[in-house]
Amino acid sequence: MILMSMLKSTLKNLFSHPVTVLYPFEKPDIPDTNRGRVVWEMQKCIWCRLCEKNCPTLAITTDKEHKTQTIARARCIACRTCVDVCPTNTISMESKYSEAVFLREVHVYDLALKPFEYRVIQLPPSQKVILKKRPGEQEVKDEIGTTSVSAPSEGKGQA
Amino acid sequence: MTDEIKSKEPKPVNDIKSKVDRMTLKFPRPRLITIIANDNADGTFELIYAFHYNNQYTEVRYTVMADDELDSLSPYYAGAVNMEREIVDMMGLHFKGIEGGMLLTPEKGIVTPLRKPLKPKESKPSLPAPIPVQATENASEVKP
Amino acid sequence: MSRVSVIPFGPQHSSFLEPMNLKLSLEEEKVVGATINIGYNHRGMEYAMAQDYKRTVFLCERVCGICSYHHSSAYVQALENAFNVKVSDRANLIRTIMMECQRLTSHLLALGHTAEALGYENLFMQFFREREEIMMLVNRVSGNRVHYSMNTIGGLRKDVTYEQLKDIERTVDVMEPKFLELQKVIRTDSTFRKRTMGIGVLKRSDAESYCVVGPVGRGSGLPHDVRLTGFAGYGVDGMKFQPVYYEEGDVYARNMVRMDEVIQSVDLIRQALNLIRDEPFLNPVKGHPTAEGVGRVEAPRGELYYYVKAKGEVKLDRIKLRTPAFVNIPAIAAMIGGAQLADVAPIAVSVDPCICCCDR
Repeated sequence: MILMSMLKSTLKNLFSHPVTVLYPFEKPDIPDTNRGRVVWEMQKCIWCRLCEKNCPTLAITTDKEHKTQTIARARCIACRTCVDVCPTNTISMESKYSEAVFLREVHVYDLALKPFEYRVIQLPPSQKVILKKRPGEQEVKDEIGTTSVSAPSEGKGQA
Repeated sequence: MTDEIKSKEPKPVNDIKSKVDRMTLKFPRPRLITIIANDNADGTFELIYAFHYNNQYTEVRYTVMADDELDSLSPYYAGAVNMEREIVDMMGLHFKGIEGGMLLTPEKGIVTPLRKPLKPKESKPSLPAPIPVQATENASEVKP
Repeated sequence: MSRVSVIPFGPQHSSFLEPMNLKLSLEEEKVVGATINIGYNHRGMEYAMAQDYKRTVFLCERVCGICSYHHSSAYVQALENAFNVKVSDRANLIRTIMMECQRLTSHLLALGHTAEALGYENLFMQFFREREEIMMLVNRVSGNRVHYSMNTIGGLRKDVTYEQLKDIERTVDVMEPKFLELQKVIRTDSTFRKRTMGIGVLKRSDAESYCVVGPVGRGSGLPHDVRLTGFAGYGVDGMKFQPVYYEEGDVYARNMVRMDEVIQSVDLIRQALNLIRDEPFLNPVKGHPTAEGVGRVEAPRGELYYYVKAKGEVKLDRIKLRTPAFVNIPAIAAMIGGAQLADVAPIAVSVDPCICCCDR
């Protein structure tokens, strides 16, 4: 039995650079294949709605009349299903993660904006970011109370 | 895929103990994997005992009613106690000498959530209704 | 005569990562009885998974964070059993390689956590440093450090390229001497041996009665391992595997089983890399299932079992999952009799409790 078996590696660690990444002075090494944020280039979109139907957490909402795609960043799990399913390569995935935000917000990609630009809409604290209904489901009152359908809105690019 | 061994004795509804005794005679004692309870929506339940026996996977199935007094396997396997407690919590069946309250305590207010046709009063709320997200007056900043 | 006092080794404790409650009856520093309460982390996963069987492919990974690919593989195997579809050898071998990579990260974390519970901080940091290399490797191959999301019904979602397989081989070759060095430390260090030998003994008859699985069972002399049944890539011609087991049943034996399995995983990854050929990686399925299916997988903590009953639509009739922590954690009550109070934390950590798997 050896008494101080880690002595050699202790002395080696004493005189070498620490293994941890000294953030924010050093940047971490994120590979290219990392799954991060999803962005739209609206000029190529053909409104087939495949991304909206195949998203497992129902984070995407498409509005064909106003030509917008809305994504709730808090619901997105970065699974790449929408990227694989899109027929025209409108959606692409960056390797950087989404940034942290203060209030509940959704991002709206509009045809009127430049490519890859999005508008930020912040929801009032009383409105939840709601999932869409699945076929066959019914509306149920939960203990917090039903959420109302009509939110105050005037003009200004609806989702 | 599975071997179904049907039971022929009428006295206890699930006479799993004598089945395990007969299985122990031929090969080493089987290892209990789990106990599963299914709700057929017409008032009967199906009880499945899954074993690993003789290097193979075998199952023993029984059909029981909702208020039968079922025989517990805990004198043979100490690990069966928690499996039966979970079935008492989730499905509402009764095992001799087993009490519920492991995963769903009375404070949580949820009663037998996995049963199908009988919806208890304080059931779990399902997913709420759809609302397309609408813009408020804070809609501003266009970001690259 | 001394009195018996009852103290809670409560839901919040600095030696556990997750909330678990042990009620210990003590007689002056010696434990005479224990009761275990679980259920603090119950999320209702069995109800949520039965709503939509295609969405569950992503949801079942999130049951546990450290054996997440094993949950995904077991669920997909149960559905492939229900659909009656055959998976190609290439997909099976790549699933095996990723499962062994996850077993490496899980066992290194368990060993580091044991060293931390003993107070040996230097060894704890070394284990986590070696583990970081494996996490960066799987980030390069699959896209995420924890939830790989590589499975779908019938095979894999995307192919693994030749450069990525070379990357796996290079990393494993670099890490193997470091794992052997750590194995030498555990086998010969006198602090580690004196604090873990003879403590927390689980006798073989108790192990059979509690139906324990995984390294807890293999540390007590039961040579059970689901990899012998040949699921996924273990049934391909050319893979050789024998389980590792010890007879003593104490905390030291369980940790030796885990350390030996780390070395064995490196060997299994090399065997699987040699057997991969050019083949299609996906066998697509159509329609909805109507039968029952069973999937069994050897997770790092033991045998993981999924049962699926489908009725021809998107909603499943019943899904049942039995995780290895559900049968291992009650066995703490059989090991803890007669232990000193300072040994309770190493004993409870040596069964590798994963409470989010246990409570679902």
